[in-house]
Amino acid sequence: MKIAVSAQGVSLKDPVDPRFGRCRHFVVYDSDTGSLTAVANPSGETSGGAGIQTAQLLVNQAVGAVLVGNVGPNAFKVLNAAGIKVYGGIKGNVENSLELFKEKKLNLMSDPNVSSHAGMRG
Amino acid sequence: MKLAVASGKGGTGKTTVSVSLAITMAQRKRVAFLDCDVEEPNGHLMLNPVLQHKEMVAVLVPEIDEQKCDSCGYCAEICAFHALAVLPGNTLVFPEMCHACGGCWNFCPKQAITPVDNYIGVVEEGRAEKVRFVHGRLNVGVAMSPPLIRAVKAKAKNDELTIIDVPPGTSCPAVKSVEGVDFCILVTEPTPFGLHDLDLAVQVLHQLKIPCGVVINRSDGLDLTVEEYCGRCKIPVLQKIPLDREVAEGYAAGIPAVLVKKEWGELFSELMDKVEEVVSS
Ligand code: SF4
Ligand code: SF4
Repeated sequence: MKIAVSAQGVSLKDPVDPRFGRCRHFVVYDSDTGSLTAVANPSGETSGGAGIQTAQLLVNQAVGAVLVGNVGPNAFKVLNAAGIKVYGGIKGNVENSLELFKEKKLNLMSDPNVSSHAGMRG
Repeated sequence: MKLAVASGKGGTGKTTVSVSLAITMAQRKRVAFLDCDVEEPNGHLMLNPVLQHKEMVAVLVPEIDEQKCDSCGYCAEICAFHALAVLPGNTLVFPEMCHACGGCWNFCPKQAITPVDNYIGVVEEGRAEKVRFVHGRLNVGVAMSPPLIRAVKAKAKNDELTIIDVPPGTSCPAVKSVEGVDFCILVTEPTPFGLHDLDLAVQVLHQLKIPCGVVINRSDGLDLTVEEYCGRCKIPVLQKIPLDREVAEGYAAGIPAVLVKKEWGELFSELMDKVEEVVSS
């Protein structure tokens, strides 16, 4: 299964980014092969609908789970409909978050935890 | 003439000004009051109109025929507003994001998309004594007000003085409400915060090339900062409305200033004269 982590950079040591739709990158870890890739998220500068567009990006990447800080209702709806599991409450860097996930210490979210537009600046 | 009454932020007493102006002017000529604050209309609370006519307003949104859709993903790719998400075997529509551009239903290679009506709110019309009254009410949960604001503004008639109550702030709904007016009255308070918001509103109006003037509400008689600002930006101060306890109490109870104090009719007639003077010069 592919696990995506919303991150500020492209490597395991980069800090996570709590904002789902506005994060710069996803670091994607494939638990079957152990491979690590990074996917740029172009939605950061979109004026609206960043969450939907970002969720679509993950659907296209065929990820099975995503580790995030916050996620809004529209993005959550897409992820949920696509069967992508959403785990909340990540902290620190990408590596820490993946470890917490493996140790089953992250919460599986059943609802969005921020309103839409929460990640917009200004 | 089309006249907008706006304020950079809420709570400046904008509606008491727009309503008082409408009531005063209706003694002399035909007046229509259009409340464009469709998210939180409150003009009716002060004017108490009898609403006789109601019209539902819809915008077009895509509907997907899952039988025809092969999940190619093209619609989500071309939608500039990210209103669509294509999942294997399931295409989701987010109507509140859709701008009805028609891209998806015109270009879906499988012709799986048809436009359907999505009701966003109502326009209600009636009379409040001599004032013709129109407002819009946006349905709960609908994020997109511009099409409803457009529907309210479409009720304006050329042979009337149209007074448009503009939603507070300087965001898209406020811009849509003032677009196309001949003049905009900006209601402000003589405080530093008021000035900051006033300046934002002035900048927007300059960009739209709409002439404007300022009404200082709850004036302390000095208003130096506002006057200095207006002098610097060459914006006329059209009227000063004094701070008055009875009027403030009336406002809280939903009674417009000019009905609390009949003698204030003069203030609002003068205001209108000033506006006409500026517009015709
Ligand atoms: S473009 Fe048409 S066929 Fe392709 S995913 Fe969208 S609705 Fe389905
Ligand atoms: S009509 Fe335009 S804005 Fe609406 S979903 Fe289709 S492409 Fe997007």
